[in-house]
Amino acid sequence: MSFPLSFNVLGWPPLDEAAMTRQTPVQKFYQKGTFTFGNRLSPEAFHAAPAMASPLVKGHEACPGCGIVLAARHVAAVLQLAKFDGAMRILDQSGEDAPKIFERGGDVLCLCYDTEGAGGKPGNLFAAGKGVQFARLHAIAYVATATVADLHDLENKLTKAMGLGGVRYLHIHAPCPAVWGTPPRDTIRLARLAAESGFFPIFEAENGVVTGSRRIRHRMPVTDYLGPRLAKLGPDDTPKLQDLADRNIIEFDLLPHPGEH
Amino acid sequence: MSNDAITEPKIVRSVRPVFLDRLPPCNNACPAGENIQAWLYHAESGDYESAWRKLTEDNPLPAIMGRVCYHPCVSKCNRAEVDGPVGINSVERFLGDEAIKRGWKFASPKKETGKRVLVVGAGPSGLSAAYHLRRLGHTVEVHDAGPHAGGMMRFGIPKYRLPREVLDAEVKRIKDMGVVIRLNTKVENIRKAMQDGRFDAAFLAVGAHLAKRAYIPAGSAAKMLDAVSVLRSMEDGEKPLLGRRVVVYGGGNTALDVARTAKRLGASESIIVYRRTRAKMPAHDFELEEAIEEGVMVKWLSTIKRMEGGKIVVEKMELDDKDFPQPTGTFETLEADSAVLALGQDVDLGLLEGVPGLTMKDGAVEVGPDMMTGAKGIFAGGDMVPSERTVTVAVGHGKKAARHIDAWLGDRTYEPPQKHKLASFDKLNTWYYGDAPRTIRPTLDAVRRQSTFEEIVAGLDESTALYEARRCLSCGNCFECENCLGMCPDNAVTRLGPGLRFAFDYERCKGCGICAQECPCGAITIVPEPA
Repeated sequence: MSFPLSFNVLGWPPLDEAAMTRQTPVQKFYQKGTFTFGNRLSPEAFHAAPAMASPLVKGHEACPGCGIVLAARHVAAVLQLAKFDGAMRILDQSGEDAPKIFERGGDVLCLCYDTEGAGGKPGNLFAAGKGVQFARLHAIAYVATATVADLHDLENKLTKAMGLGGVRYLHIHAPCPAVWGTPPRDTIRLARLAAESGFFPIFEAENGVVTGSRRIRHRMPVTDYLGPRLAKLGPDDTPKLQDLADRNIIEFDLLPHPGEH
Repeated sequence: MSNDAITEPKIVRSVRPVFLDRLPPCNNACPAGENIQAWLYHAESGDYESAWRKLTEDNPLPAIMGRVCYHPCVSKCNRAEVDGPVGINSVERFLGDEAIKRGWKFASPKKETGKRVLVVGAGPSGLSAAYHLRRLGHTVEVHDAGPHAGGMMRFGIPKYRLPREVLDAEVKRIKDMGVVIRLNTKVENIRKAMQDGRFDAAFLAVGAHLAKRAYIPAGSAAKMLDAVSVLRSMEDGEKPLLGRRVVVYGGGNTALDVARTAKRLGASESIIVYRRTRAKMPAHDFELEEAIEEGVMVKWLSTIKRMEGGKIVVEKMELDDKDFPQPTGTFETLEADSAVLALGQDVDLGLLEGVPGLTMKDGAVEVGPDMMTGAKGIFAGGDMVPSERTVTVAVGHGKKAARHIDAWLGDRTYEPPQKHKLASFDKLNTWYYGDAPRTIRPTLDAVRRQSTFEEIVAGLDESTALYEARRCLSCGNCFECENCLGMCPDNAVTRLGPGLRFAFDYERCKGCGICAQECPCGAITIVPEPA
């Protein structure tokens, strides 16, 4: 089993194929409206995570609570289950290499792990990053944002992207406790707050047209999301970031419609 | 990244996650010690028989309890802070009714111990004890003075709250296990009864059936009754003649039962006279609310001074600074064809005369933490021991006593298992639970229930019961939602199989704590790394 070099940048080892195809007995749907990852009664059994033996995930090469490692683990599972062998690129979160690749066209699946940490200061890559903006500008075949706070959504979007032709781009929000100075246990919580505040909108667009967005369940101010990182911001930054979130909410239609939920 | 010469990097970790069980607040609040979260777990998957079997490990009377219990579990439910508490009591009733409908039976004990236990009183406490003792393999005989089993559940609780077919079905199921119930058999002397029947131990649960009296001057034409005999005569076929204007004296649940029964018997006025305020009333507020809806009236801060002919003289009271009612000297006259006193009940302690070691206090039998009286081998529970007098408490006493009696018969001591720490609301991550308001049991409309003894609260149907069960947050107990498995960056969580939960692989875990943070039900905690 071989994988594109671009994907293997994280150093995933080949996987145990038997482990990948192991199925959990399908059971009934569980709690009404449950938002958990899976559950004992869910028909969507989690595809068994690859049994990884990489030093990256065994030792201290990745920090505790690393958002990228978590996202990459699920990406790896989806790609390997599908035996994906198309062209892939991992884009830098600065967005610098995105325009060139989008312009070049062809069949390529691009991924970007966004820790908002490229410039060392939160908000530099606000609003789902420059890559997303370029992608929408270029009206590529498929662009989507995803977050470690909703791993099923991430998996679904990746699956969808794999099945399309042209340039597809998946931009994944993955908080970085080391750069942000946040407790490692808060990685998912912060990713959730980013989405729930509207700061990081979760949406997808095909050929430049927004085709879907994930609704906010409990709206909150961006200050809740920024938490301890507020201290690193200037006095004018917070209102700007809140404004950005508010505009995202309108642009991507993030509030629940009457009758939803 | 070089892959040659992979040295196993040592994980530096100061803390690690561990799985644990916490005690859900519903279980903690249940006087019958039901493992509510565990039976809801089965009900959630639609496996109602397993749910019922889990439930009846603690309480053999779910269809009854689902109707008459004041459900402290619901009051303590953590879900109240999310949208509304889970209707535990409604689901319990659904399971109880389902069991009757499907004819589910209790298993007979696997082996007989040959020990004989006498249970005195076939009320909730006696039936519960008999059931649990039988499960443990003992031979059990229940002696009851009344013509039917059920005790206060039959002679105290009106039909509109507990239909008799339900009571009969649950009693029969206990008899079918091999419990012998002798009716019209009053135990006059416990020691003699034990000797005559060669019993090794006894559990006393005769209840509190003697109406408390208050001296109220009354003319010869005045019709003054007590609540116990009014409710009892509802069962005997000879309906009590209360007249068109009925005054009920007292502020407990029994007073409400009588006032509502009077309405159903055709009284145009049913008035409760209570000496204190609504806030001080011992009756449950929802029952008062239902009574008021049915047209029952209440005179707060009033006492009955005397009754003559068709009139009752009432004195207005006021609360002093210690909240005690004090007379004001202001009087008022009420028209009344009858007055019913609902001032509480006493225990008939006649059968205990001459038992050495046995002690009584304030008209109740004193028992130790093991439910044993001062007399060896004689245990007691229910309304005849000092405690709150409800069906649920009585069922709990029966279970507890049965465990201690079993230990005592085997010359052992029963040590209850240690309780887990409470799963309080702050231990939960409620983000993961969808919004789902509570299913309210449909109530019969007020007009209809005023004149009939039909059940006033209808049950849930299958779909609503399932929905309600699935609203359980499973506080403090893993329900295999897979959050820890899916959200671990280190892939350090292993699934052990359906029903077997998960395990941590500490070779991989870096101790980030995401699993504990994102566990919806608080079943993971972070502990310092062992030295």
